[in-house]
This record gives sequence, structure tokens and C-alpha cells, in this order.
Amino acid sequence: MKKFVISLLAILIGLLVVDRTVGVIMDNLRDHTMARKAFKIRKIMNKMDCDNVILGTSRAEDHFIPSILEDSIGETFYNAAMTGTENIFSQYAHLCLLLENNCPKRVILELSDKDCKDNGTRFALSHLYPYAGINEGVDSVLRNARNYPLVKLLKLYRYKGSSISYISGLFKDESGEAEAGYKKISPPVYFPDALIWVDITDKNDELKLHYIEKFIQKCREHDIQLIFTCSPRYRKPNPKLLDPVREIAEKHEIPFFDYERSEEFLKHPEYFRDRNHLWDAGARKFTSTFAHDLKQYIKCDSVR
Amino acid sequence: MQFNSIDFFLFFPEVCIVYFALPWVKARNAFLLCASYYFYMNWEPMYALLLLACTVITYFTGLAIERYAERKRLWLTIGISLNLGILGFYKYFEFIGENVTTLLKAMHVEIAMPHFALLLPVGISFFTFQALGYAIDVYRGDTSAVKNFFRYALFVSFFPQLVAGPIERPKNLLPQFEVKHRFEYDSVMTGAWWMLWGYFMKLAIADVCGGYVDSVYDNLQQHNGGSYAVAALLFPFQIYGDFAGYSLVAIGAAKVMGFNLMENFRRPFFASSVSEFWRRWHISLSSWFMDYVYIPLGGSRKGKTKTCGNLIATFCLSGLWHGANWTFVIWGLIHGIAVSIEHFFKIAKKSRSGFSRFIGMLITFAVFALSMVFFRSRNVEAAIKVIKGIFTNPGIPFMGDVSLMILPVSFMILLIKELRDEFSIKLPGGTGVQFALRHSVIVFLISFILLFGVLEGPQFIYFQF
Repeated sequence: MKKFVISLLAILIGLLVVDRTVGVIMDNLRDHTMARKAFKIRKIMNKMDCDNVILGTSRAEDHFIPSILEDSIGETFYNAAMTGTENIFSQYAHLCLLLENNCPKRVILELSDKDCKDNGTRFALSHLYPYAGINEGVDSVLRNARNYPLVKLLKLYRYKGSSISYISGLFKDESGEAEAGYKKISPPVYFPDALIWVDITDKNDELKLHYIEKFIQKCREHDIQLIFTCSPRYRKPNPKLLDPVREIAEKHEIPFFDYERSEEFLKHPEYFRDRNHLWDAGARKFTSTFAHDLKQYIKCDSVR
Repeated sequence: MQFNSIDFFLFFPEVCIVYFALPWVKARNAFLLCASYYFYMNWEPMYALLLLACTVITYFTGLAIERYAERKRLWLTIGISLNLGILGFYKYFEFIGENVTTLLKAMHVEIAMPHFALLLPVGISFFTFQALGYAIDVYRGDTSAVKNFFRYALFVSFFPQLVAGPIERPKNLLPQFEVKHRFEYDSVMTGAWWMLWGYFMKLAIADVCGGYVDSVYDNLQQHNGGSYAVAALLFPFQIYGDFAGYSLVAIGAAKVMGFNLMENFRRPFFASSVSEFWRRWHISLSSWFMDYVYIPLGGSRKGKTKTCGNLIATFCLSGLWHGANWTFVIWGLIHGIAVSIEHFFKIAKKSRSGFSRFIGMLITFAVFALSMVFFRSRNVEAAIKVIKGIFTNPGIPFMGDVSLMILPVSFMILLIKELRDEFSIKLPGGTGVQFALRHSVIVFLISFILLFGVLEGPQFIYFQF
């Protein structure tokens, strides 16, 4: 038993030393890497002077082209959406990080069924672990996940999902700064074929809906105009899928630009890289459509 | 409960502490039995009834075979039929139904087969085969029937190897439940060491490869032949890391508690022939099929042609054991044909060294990688599309997630470990140096897994079988 305790102690001490050392290195890397997510988070955390910020997952990152929006609306736009930041929890944390030093005129939030339905992808938040203890909004989201104590305790664990991208971002500029955060997607080998029906649970996730409400509240507190969007997909539209979001939007009088059922895209598989993502040509078409609609909305809103 | 879940990291030490704290063997066994059922019920509580049913059937089969020796064949047939009936219903009903419907349709007979939408109970093929092995061993007189039901139930449900093996033999595992295992430093450290390597293989190799492989195989439309080729090359490493990793965690967890489970993988990619590969890959299953299918079919005793037939039949059955899909049958067929060719031309028996061994290793890997295209694909058409695409639609492979960049380092670490094990290279230095070296490696591996591993990744692939 004595030998075992000595072994255990030796391992624990060794781990502690490695953990703290790697932690210092990674903290430094986080603040200097040009990896996409780390750069975007750094960008929204610092003062950025931008009128409009787009938040969301890969669908927003791949679909909204700031330069087109800027030309059409005459205001500045930054696409702060990030691939793989699965749902509203991440978006709420991103909003909290954004509000540390910024107060944009407008926030455009891309939503999908993943933001309101119980689809089992609640806390895929590993890209936020490196920011634990930095921002209370981020911590409040992370606290919902079971592994939060591990995130707090181990620096190694905190950087588990980001370490390689941080290192790669030292050698390659992946920031997407030239396109103001937009990610240009190349065309696929084959375009999606027939429209299919995708089974998605009808069960609402109450915690996600609560976070949408919190998101709205946070924007109200900072006098930010919030806009919900749902960009096109290539699948048979399910009109009821986003009903919970629609209800919340109506309740709080938030404009909701829903393009999921837009014939303009459903009849054109050649705009899509896959069923959920447009490629660059589709993104250009979509952003132009959205820019036009947003411009109309802003005009009407200012008249009111 | 998955081995790579936080639940297991809490469950396992608690089980060990209580296990070693209990003073009596019977109390320990009772506790392990409860812990094993709790472990299994974490997936779907109702399916514990299947585990129990399998246990009860084979327990009474064993007793009946011994008690009514003159009718032992009948009792064995009943026991096997009932067990395979449960397995068949859950695993093959849909498959058989689909194929019968297709066949009848071809004969212009329209018939609607009932559809049950069953969820396959985790590990059903593993515990069913372990229990069947017991019944057959009792029938053959290789082991005597266990009188104590709870001890037998523990043999079937022992949690480290319950859901994905190694498929244990009664002669090896049952006697170990009669011994009071002491907390021994060497056992605990060896077991923990194996577990750590298992986690490394699963989290730092299999799941990293899996990210790429899944994105290609799940979206074949979006990729070219270059991506298919990379995915086809990575999948063997994914499945090796996944399954051998699982086996190491299982064997290591048992070792920590003082139990010795059988070896399941012995560095299969060092095999220079497909026959040798099968002596190194999923050893517990291949030896099960060897003992309970291949040899009863006649083995190699009835001439070359019959032997080849037996080999092909055994491998096809082994394929079908993996899953109810023609892809698995073709996977088995490829291995059956390869082993038969080696047997026919006595290739496997030639001892090789140096360059010819290396060439043999490459050919064996190529055969395995080809077969794994069928193993991984959703259906035969998809597998053919992948193979065809590799040769007819070449292109620059998709780059995949940035996490793939760590793979060369992970492979290098694994290669060093495999070479060390293959050639039995001892750690240098005296006791003190070895202690420092071993503990440094442990700290390095834990840190590596934490920093670069896929910690919230998918479950082990073989759980679905």
C-alpha cells in the first residue's frame, strides 16, 4: 500500500507540474494565435467598433457575407459566427464576451432547431473552456455542464479541444479577417440530390428556450436591436420546427427572417454544399436577399 | 456506462475500494454482480432482463447436461436454440425480414413483414457467445457445471468484459471468482498501465481518426477518391485503437481487481499473413470460432478443399456475428478467402524475416483495409462506391479537422510501445531509474490524452455488436 501511495503521489505531483506549465503556455498561445475561433473570440472581446455583429454556428459563418451587407446597408458588419458552436448556450456566451468592450447597434442571431429542440447536443462548449474564469457570462453557461469542475481544475482539460488549432494558428493565419469573419466555402463534388424529410424531435428543450430569453434580455439591457434569422437548408421544410423561436420572437417583437422555406433556395440545389450549408455562390445569393430584406426592415422601422 | 465517460471514472474506483474492503469472497462476488448489473443497466435497464435470461438459460442448460448425461445433446440443443433465438430476434430479425421480403418480391409475392423497431441491446453478441461457450464446454466435459447461480451470473456479467469482451472461457474466469484477490501493487499498477494505454488508443488515436473517417463515410457524396483512400487507410487504425483500446481498458480494469482476462490483441499490424493476423486480432472471438465452429465443422482434417470451405464458412459466420448486414458477410468472406488461399498454398506456414516479412505485413494490411471498407460502409453499394472511387475519381483529399495534425505524434508513440512489446525491450537502468521513467511516461500519457484526446467522443464501436 505504501508503494502505491508513493506512486500515486509521484503521478499527481508530476501532473500538477505539467498542468500548470502547459497552462501558462496555452494561455499565451490563446492570446496570440491566429486560429479562427480564438481570433474571433479575441476580436469580439476587444473594442471593435462595428455596427452589426452576426452570431451563430457554421451556417451563419458560411452564409453571411459582411461586404455585401455593408454595401447594401451602409453600416459595418462583422461575422462572429463560429463553426461547431452548436447551440444557444455558446451564442449567449459569445454575446457576453462581445458586451465586455462593445455595444453594437444590432446583433443578428442565426437560429435553428438545435437552439430550441432537445437533440442531445446541449453542452458542446469546449471552445469556451479556455475562457473559464475570464467572463462571468461564459462561466454561467459552463456551469450547466457536468464537467465544469474539471474545466476549473485542470488547465490541460481546459485546452483539450483547442490546443492543436492554437498551435496550427501560429503558423497559418486562419482568422478570416480579410472577409470580416465570413468563411468562403468551395463547391461540393456533387450537389445534394432530392429534398428529403429529416426527422427531428418535437420535444422542446426548456433550458435552451430560457437561454434565448436571456439572450433577448441581455440585448435589451444594452439597447441592442436583435434580429433572428434562419438561413436556407436543402431539406423538406418542417414548418413547426421553429415554432418555439417564432413564439418568443413574437412575444418580444423581434424580427425573424426565416428563409428555410424559401422557394428561391429550395429549387436550387446548386447553391448548396450539403443539406445544411450553402457554398460561396449560394451565400452570395442569400446575403443579397437578406441584405435587401434587412434594408426594407430598417427603413420601415425608422419610419415607425 | 461507457469506459470513456465521467460516470465510469467515478464508478470504477468506488467499485475497487468497496471490493477490496469486503473481507469475504462471497460478499465480493455478490457486490461485483450488483455492480456489473448496475453498469449494464446504465444503458437501458430493461435489457438487463435479457442478460438475466441468457444467464438463467445457460445456467440450467449446464446443470441439465450434467444431470441427464444420456440426453445431454438434447439439452445443449435447447440451450443453444433459446440463446441464439434471443440473439437472432434482436439482431437478425429485421435483416432476415428484409431479405425474405426482397426475395419474395422478386418472385412477385407481396408480403409485409412485421417491423419491431428494436434497439440492439449493448454487448448481446458478446455475453451470448460467452454463455454459449460455457454450455458447450460443459457438454464436452471440459468444465463442470457451476452449482452456484450467482457465481455463474457473475461469470456472464462481469462488468469489465461484459459489453465487448474479451469473450472469456469458463476454465479461465470461473476459478478466479473462488479466490480472494489481495490488493497488490504490481497488479494494480499493471492494470492501471494497461487501462491508460487503452484510453490512449481510444481517445488519442481511434477517435481522432474517427473524426475524419466519419465525415467521409457519412457524406460520400461530398468527397473524391483521395478522401476515400485516406478514410480507408485510417479506418483500420481507428478500429484497432477503438477495440484494442477497449480490450486493454477491460483487461486492465480486471487486473486492478486481481483478475486475469485473456489477451485479445497482440499487435496485429505486425502480422505478415492474414492467418497470422487472425492469431493477433480479436483473439477471444477468433479462438471461439475456431473451437466451437471451425473444428466441429471438421477443421483441417478432411482435405484441402474441405478445409478451405470450413474456413470460408467460419469467417462468414464471424462476419455475420458482427452485424446483420451483407457488408459484414462480405468482410468475413474476404478474410475467409484470404486465409484459404494462404492455407492452400501454405503461404502462412513459411517463416519470413526482414524484407519479405515487411512485404507480407503490407499485403496483410492492404487485405485488412480493403475488407474494412465493407465493415465501415452502410451497405454494399456504398462500399463499392468507395473502392471504385479510389481508383476512378482521384483528387486531393479533404484536409479534415485540424485535430488530425496530432495523429503522426500519436502513431509514433503507439509504434514505440508496439515495438517495445513485440521485441520485449526492457526499460533501461536500475529500479530507481525505471520507477522515474515509468512514472514520467504515465504523466506524459495522461497529459497527452487530456490535451489532445477526444474526451467527449463517441462510444466504442464494438458496443453495437
